[in-house]
Amino acid sequence: SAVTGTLRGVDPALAERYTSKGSSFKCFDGSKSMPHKRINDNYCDCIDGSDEPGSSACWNGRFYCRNRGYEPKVVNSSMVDDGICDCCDGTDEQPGKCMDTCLEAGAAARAELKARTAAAVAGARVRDGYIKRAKIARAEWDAHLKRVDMKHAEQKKKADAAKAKKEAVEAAEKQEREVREAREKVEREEREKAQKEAEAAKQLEESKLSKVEPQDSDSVTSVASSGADQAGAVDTQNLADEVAAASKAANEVAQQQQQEQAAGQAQELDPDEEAKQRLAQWVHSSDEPPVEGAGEGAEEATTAGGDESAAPEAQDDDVEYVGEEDGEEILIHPNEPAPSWWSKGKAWVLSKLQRAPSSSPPEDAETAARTAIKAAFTKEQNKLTELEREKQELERKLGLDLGPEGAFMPLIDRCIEANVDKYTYSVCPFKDAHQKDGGAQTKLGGWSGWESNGSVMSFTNGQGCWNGPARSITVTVVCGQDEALMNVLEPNRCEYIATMTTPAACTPAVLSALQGDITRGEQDVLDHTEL
Amino acid sequence: MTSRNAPTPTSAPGYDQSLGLLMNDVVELNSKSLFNFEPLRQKQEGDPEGLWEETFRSHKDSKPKGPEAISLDIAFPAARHVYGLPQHASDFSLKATVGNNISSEPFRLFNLDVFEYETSSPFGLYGSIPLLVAHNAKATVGAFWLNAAEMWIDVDKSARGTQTQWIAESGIVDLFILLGPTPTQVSEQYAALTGTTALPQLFSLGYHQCRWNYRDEADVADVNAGFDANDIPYDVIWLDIEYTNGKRYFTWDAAHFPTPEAMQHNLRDHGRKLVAIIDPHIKKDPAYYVQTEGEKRGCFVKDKDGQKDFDGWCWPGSSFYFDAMSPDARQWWAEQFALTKWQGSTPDLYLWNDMNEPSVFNGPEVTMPKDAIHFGGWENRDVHNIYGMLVHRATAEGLTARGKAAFGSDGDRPFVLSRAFFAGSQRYGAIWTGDNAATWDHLRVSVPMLLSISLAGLPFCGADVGGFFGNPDAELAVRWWQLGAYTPFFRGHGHLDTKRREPWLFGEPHTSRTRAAIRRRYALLPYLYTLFRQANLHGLPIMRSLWYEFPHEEAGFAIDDSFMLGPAILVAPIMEAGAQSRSLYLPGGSKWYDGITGEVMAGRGGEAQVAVDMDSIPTWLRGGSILPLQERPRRSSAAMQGDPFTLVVALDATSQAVGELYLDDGKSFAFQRGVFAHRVLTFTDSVLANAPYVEAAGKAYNPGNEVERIVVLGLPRGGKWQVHLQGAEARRLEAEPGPLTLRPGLPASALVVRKPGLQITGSWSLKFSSSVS
Repeated sequence: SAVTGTLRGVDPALAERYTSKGSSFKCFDGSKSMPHKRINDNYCDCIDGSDEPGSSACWNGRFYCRNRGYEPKVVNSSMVDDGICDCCDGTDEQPGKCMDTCLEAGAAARAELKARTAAAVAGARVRDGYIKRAKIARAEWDAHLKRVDMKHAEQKKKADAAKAKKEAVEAAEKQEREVREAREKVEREEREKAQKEAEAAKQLEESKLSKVEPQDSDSVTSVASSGADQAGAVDTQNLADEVAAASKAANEVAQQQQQEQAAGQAQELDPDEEAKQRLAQWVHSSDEPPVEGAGEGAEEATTAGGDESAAPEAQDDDVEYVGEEDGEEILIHPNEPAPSWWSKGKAWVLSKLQRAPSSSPPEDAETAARTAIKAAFTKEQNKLTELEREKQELERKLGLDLGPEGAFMPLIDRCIEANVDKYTYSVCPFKDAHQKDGGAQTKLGGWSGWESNGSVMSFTNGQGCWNGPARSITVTVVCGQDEALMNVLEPNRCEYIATMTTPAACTPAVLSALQGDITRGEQDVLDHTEL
Repeated sequence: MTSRNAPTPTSAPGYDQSLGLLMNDVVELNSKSLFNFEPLRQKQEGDPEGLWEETFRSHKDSKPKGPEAISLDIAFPAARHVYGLPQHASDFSLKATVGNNISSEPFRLFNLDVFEYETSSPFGLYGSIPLLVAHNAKATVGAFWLNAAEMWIDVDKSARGTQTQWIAESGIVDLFILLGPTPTQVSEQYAALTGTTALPQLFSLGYHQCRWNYRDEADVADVNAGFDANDIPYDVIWLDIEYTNGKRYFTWDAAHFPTPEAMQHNLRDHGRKLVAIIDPHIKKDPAYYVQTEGEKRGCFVKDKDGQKDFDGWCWPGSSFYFDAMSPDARQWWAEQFALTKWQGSTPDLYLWNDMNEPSVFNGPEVTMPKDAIHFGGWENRDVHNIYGMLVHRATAEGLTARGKAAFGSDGDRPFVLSRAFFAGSQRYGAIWTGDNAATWDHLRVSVPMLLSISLAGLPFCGADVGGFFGNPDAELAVRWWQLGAYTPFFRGHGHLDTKRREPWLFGEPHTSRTRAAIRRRYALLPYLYTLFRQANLHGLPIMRSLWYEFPHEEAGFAIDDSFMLGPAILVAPIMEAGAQSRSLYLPGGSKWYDGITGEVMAGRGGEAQVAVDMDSIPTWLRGGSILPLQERPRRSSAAMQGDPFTLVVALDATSQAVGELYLDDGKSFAFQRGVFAHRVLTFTDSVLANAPYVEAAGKAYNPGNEVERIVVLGLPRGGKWQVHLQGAEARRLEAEPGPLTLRPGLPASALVVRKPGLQITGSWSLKFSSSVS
């Protein structure tokens, strides 16, 4: 209307309030009424600022600029007539002060919007693929988990059986030890007693030498020791019997095991087997290359992701595989063929064994058998642990919130990197984030979940800062044609933020919002031409 | 020296004889016969250890002149309270350091960079002013010993008043007794000796946003935009040491600040400024032009043998120290600030001198060895406490020269913040209280520290809002902003390791409270700027103790948890966590109005208990005052230049009030040739009059700002008031009851004259009359 056309700073949606019939204008909060001439008279009459939409008189006023050719804007009254152009149409300042730059600003914004929309459309197509892959992956993980569950149940039985045998051996060994210790105790006591008697005799002799005739010291000793012998004899015999029984049992177990195992295996362990056992005490792993376990799932996921970035990652593994801060066990990358580390480890252990002077007497068959039983247990237990880990990993993946329709699944085994100054930042969604500086790397955090309605990935509990908190990073996820990490900043000490583009965030809602903006932008241009 | 039996000076002119005081009741010199000095001597066999050489930890002081100390005693027999001797993190009324059951070191004056300083300590901090002020209900006197060597002062309180003993490590006795007898006369007498405050640029009285460090140009732009987005005013953003190329001052880190000029232009286009840090240590690097220039020209402090340049560690590692004692070195230093010299600098760039005690990381007590040699052969021992001020001076002179080169003879007033200070620093710029911490203790101690510095003639001072070390919680941060808004220098700052704390980062409702506090500061700018002009003319403090304004009220002598901002506003900051009320003292004999609601404080002064919440800091307007305000919120002081004024008239019990307003371009030295407006506003016999300030009438400055509102508190109730403009253009003005402040929910405690159509710099008078009388 004509009135709003002349009334500066009025939001068209509120225009009627200023033009209502009647003799007076009423503050929006109803606190006061006044003649219309007090509207925009550069004096604040309404405590809510409503009488001065077009001046800076009120402390809390809102100035509306139409910005034809671009989008409307509401600025604080503090910015009206302050000599600085805040609206692209320049209406917040006195005429002649500012140029109308809305068409240019609008054109730039529309071009940017178009580019963003194009990227979003492309991203949305990629996202459709992500979703399909997510469904397949999920089904595979489910199936895989079932297989692992079955294997796990079987392995549990095996491990339990091996454990029972091992415990029998340990019981036998315990008894043997007790017998041995008892015997040693008796022997020690005998020795001490003899020694005491010898000393007593010596003293006696010395005193006799000075006073009386010497007595036969041997007879004193022999009397004393024969008494001890008699007292200990029964116990020793009992223990010896027990040891024999245990030994027999152990032999039986060993024989049984040997039968169970591939026939014809030599009683003595071959050096490789022994090395494996020794290695098993150092490193926690199965005795086989872990090709069928966790590796399978990971491989599937990687392949499904159709993603090449996994390849360079594998090269890092020699560095990566020792758990760095938390003292975790060694992790073995699923894609890495086991023989490389296995043969290295074996060679190392063997060399140690060869170099070590063999001070202990050669093991008898029984000892070897027992060692074998224990080794068998370790082996079965390791297999079980490996399966448990595999199971946990699958369960973790299945439990992850991979976004609407699981669209973020393809990011599960990826790391997105950005170079900022001398650092490389690496964000591995659902896993962890690092800051790398040459060879050194600092953990910024482990996956802790989504924040802000699923638009921010949060990684917490990274490496502690000197005199500060544990590092953390929050990554805002936005729609983009492909994955990229940007705007990595550390606004607070050790609290990092970043933005990541990914097609996974190109949801229909994002697309339709962009389309809406484009439509509005087109309308803006029309408005401006109408002017 | 005068003995107790032959008291010093004759009676001072203007002395209030009606008080019936005798001079020897006020100050006595050498009444304890402690005046003593070490005569210069030759080194001899068998001299006691320490006479010619001292060791401190791994440091050795060669003491080439041997012992040189001087001691004297000054007593104030009628005064139980003495003040001054900044800088110490302790009570405003100085505690006794000797006496029964007192185990305290003397107050120490020795400029030091103290890491995480403690409160309630007589230990020396970053600045030193050897001025002591004694006060009782009848008279105020001062003692000023102009000596820049390390000094120790013992304070002994007894029934016979206060005795003090002063010992300086070297130098001469250059002692001035300031006879007052009023507090303002002591200020004027001290200013006559050391100078008055340089009139600062208006922008520097706004809010300053600092941090160690704003990371890069994008960060600066974001913070700048953040203030606008949150509708919070500010004038200056600051860059700490990280903006440089490897702590080489006068250079920029090219990776993070590749286009410093464009960055400054962006700030300028928003009406804002940039302050960058420049410290007096110069990185030892033969590829660094400032180092090679300074070395070639002989501008660095020498080591104890006076031959080699003294080499000490500071931020850049091994460094030389600019010898501010040398006139030629100061000239060289000043030249560095020329726009043609300092690449990347623009006229919107101002300065910050830190570490100028000087701080030497590997020196004794983190400062320069006392036997280092300055210009003229002076040992640092003799000039230690003045060094920082001379750095401050050289920088300010550099900016003044830059301004004249850029803008002609009216130039551009410098703005330089310094950490170290000495008697006279007020002539060069602002100082702050150094590296405080985000604790309630440090918030509390900031008030006595600033009162003490202000009393010692250095009114442009402030404490880091929020606390430099550590992270304030939202409550502490808001309380600090609320207090900071009423301190002369108002800057938020934080350490590199702290969380970001720009005023909006604590979220609501904290942001709104902080916004309100900072906006309040901006509304007060015309009043504050006028106070600075009075400081500039007469050496008066801006932040004042209660006794400074109410010298006869003994109940106020020890109060240092509230203060006066100029003569008209009493500020009682909240400095306790979870406070729901606070007690305070409102000097009697005055009428007090709540600073926000305008309601009269019940009773006639004395102890009061007031309820408080998180929203406001208790302030009272003193009856009898007229305050000029600019109440429209803006993004910066520059954006307020054309805004209209509000006059708040707070009547006293006899319905009178007086105030003044000083206005100039806020920027140049044109005021020195009379281009300013100085007005006096009076309300007597129901007439509000605006007239030239007689003492210093200006000429030709009439910016044309209007008065949009006149708010009168304390008119007799009951009648309907009419207001008429008197004179040739007589007319009736619109006036109706309304609130003191434009905020919802406030009572109509005032008579508000609406749009009187008058200019703030015009001469006019308004007659107030009541229809019912």
